[in-house]
Amino acid sequence: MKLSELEKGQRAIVESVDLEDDIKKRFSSMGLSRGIILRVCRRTFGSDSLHVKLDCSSCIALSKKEAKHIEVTPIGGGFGFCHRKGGGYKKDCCEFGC
Amino acid sequence: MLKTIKVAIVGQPNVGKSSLINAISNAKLHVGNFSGVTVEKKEVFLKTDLYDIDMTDLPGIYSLNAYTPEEQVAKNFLINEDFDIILNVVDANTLSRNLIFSLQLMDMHKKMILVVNMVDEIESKGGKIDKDALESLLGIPVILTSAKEHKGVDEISTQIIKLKKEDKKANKIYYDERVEQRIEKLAKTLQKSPHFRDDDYARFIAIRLLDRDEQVYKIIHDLPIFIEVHSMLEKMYKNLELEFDEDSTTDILSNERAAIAYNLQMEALNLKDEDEGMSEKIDNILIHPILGLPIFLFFMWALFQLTFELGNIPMNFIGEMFTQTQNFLADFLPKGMFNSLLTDGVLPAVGAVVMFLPNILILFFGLNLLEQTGYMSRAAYLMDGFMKRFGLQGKAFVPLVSGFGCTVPAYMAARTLKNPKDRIITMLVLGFMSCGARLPIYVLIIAAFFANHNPGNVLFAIYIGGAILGLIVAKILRTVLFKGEPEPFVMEMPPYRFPSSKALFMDLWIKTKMFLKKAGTFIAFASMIVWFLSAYPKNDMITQNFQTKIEQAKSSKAKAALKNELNAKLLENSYLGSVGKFIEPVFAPLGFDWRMSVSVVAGLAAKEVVVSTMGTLYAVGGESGASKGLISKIRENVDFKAAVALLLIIMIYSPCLAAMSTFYAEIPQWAWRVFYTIYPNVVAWIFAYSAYKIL
Repeated sequence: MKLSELEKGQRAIVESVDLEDDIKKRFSSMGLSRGIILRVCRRTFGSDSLHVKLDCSSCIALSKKEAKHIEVTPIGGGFGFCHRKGGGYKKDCCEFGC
Repeated sequence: MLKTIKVAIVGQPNVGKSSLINAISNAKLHVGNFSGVTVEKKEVFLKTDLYDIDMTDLPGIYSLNAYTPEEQVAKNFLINEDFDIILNVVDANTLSRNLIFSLQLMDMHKKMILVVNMVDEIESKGGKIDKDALESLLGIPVILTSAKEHKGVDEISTQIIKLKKEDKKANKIYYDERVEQRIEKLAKTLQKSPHFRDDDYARFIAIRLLDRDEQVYKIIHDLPIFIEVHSMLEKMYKNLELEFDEDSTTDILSNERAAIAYNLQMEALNLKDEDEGMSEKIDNILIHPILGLPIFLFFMWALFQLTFELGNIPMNFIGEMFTQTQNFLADFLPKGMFNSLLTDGVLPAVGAVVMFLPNILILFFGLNLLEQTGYMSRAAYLMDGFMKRFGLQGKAFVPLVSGFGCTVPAYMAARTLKNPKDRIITMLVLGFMSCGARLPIYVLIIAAFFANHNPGNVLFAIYIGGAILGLIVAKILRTVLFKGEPEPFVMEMPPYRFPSSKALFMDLWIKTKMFLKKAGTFIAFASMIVWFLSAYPKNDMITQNFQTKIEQAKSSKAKAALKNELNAKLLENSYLGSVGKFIEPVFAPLGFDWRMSVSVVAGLAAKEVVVSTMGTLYAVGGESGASKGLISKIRENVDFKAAVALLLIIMIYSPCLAAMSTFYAEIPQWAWRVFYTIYPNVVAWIFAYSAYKIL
């Protein structure tokens, strides 16, 4: 599933970022890279841009055009599951509010 | 001589670096530019008993894979400049993301201090940061600070001195064994070259090469070992990507760092479940999909209302003060050239400009508040889709709005755009965002001709009109001259923070000082020139001619009328009159008289000069000095159609000299410089002419 199709409030884990090298580096330095969990907080009118909350901390805005190239897998809501490199998921590391 | 410790202050954007710097006690702040570029360079000097500490604040940078031109400046400094200590400021709220960058910095293996800022926000949520854990894991000193509550700030200098004396560098970051093997091998090869004898430096360069850092790649490109390194690198890229099943070695390294950073956060940050934050609640309203845009427009409208209505209150007072001083000095000082220079030339001009200080301060205060609370990046998010339709992206919105304040920093803010085409389009249309210095002219014309409309609304319409025109021109530029897509839009949305009143006040104070200084020096000087050109050459023939007529006149009314006529005649025959007559043909189709023409041209130096020149030119013919009198003077001398044409010219034509030279400094291509210098003036003339004909 693409990030652009993710429902508002639905939590998902990022599987891959399929963008040019430059912009991919940019996303990762802003905290959006493979393995992190995010949630769509809201979209603008006409869904041109998305407001996304990343892993326990920061929020970023990005446009739909780029979101179409970010592959995500929705995960269960409710509990705070965060991905841990090499160690699967860890429960309750944080909860995000959107 | 005291020894100097050079410190580079590095951090991601929005970590509160500048408020931290402002909070350091006894520090001297110096603001300049990085050599060769117009990016603001803040230096902080601290004197202690043993050392001078010289700290350079680098522009916010998300990672060493610099993306925007502004980040490039910070990266260049880190790679090329000589300094002793890295002071890495991170935001406690986004620790793991910040630490990813810290890990990149640690690859440099320099002396480093980690400053974890905004701990107060974590503590207020009931969380805690384990300083000792971070220190032992990273092997560098850690300071927990809160610039807001002034906690830990003064520990910074003590720690810097302590670290300078110690011979201890940061821990090495160890990557995956497979990556480490390559780094080692690559570093060994690099060390064959005299450039990379140093172990740490060779390792750093090796890591950057594996991170596919193009800038570092260019450094080795010209060296004799290039061929060997190049073939080795190609093999390593291929093998590592296969082993890790990733598209690029960059991804491998970023995943590694992300994992380390994440684990660091797990060890060091103790935070209970976050509930729906305040920012979320505010965002639910402010960036609502449907309400968001109208709310933004309302904010802007309210700002312009305030600018006019509130700014008007002290305006009469200031104007009155200047008129009083003027009248007093005119009687007090001996009659003669100096008296006339001061009371006819400088004072009315400076007075006419200073009167608008309250308006300008309100506008700046409002824009500053929007920016510093974090609302501006929300507005950029709201506008992204809209801006895309005009060939720009959401991020370009921030420099455009700050253009309402002053065009110079707005041009610099365009450095946050990566794509050169996006940048140049943004900069080419930035002049259409009317800056604060144009405000006095608008206020003057509005007061003279639109007094029975709501002045705040007229002002708002002017600013919005400029913005819409700017967007249309951007669209045209994008389709005709700069074909292609705008760069991808991605932007951080920091939580809402209310800036400290001290910081806001300081900003306003600096603005006031700068404005008054400009009025007292540049504007005063310009008005002296204008006065001189308007008072000379003395034409005794005309004076004598009129003198006899005045004596013969019977009523005092006729005398006054003749006096006015005399003054007007004298002005027409002055140097300035000749200049005005010379350029009049250009402006005559717009209904301008020579005085308006001169004022408009003088406005190319600085927009304030338009009003001050009018102040001088229209005041010479009358009794009352500048200020309030000017409004009625203009109403008498200028017809409505020409006034509208004047508004349009001011809205569209070239910005001031300072702004133009900033543009030239930012854009090296001559073709664009020439285009930039000519086209706004042509557009302005066409608009003004059409308005004059149609009305």
